[in-house]
Amino acid sequence: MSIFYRGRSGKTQARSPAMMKWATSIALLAYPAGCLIQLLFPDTTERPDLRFGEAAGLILVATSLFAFATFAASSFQRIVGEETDKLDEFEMELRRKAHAFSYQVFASLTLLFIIYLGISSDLLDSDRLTLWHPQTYNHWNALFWGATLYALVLPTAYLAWTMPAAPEDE
Amino acid sequence: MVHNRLPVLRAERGLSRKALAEAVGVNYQTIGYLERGDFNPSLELALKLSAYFGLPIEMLFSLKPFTPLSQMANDKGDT
Repeated sequence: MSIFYRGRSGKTQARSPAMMKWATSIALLAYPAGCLIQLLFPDTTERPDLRFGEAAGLILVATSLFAFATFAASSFQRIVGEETDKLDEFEMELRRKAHAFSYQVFASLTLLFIIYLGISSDLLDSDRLTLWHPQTYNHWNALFWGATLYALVLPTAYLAWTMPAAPEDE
Repeated sequence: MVHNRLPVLRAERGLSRKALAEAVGVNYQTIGYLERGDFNPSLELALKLSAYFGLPIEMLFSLKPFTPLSQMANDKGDT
């Protein structure tokens, strides 16, 4: 699963490999960090107008989405998200590798999360240990958008870190 | 690894990557990756390139490195 924003001109935005590495890493790391901060510091002060945790968490989540927006129309995103009949065989090979890699990572993360949910629900009725588990609509909403973001960004991140540098223009 | 003579053939005919890419139906950067050896073409693309240059496929692609033209000329001069 991936999306690509094709502008009216049909041209992709040039992004350097270094910038792509930064942008994809920020998109993948800032979102869970923001959600964690919101979870750990929901409203730590007595004053409701100083909602540090919520504000800091929201800023990180917004940073993650902004980072995704910077490469949504890039040539890297085009390879993973464009219609297949508009790609040549080299681009299709890169796309297959990127999707295979992201499937492995996504499936592993999903399995680990299910194992965690199993353990946390097993401990629900015991006094031994209390583990966090999603309960509210906000928790599940954050998980849904996080999974969507990872599904969209992981293939691009793979390309950003592994694709050979583009040949110099003539 | 598959070695190729694309840069030499392209230079010989004064072709840009873009012109060659359009002729065989790929992105112009793909020609650059192909020339640099980052990517091995499919049989279909190799045959298209071979037909475009009007040369047998083994003149364009080889599993062994091609002998440089300067060395071939020197070898010929020695004999």
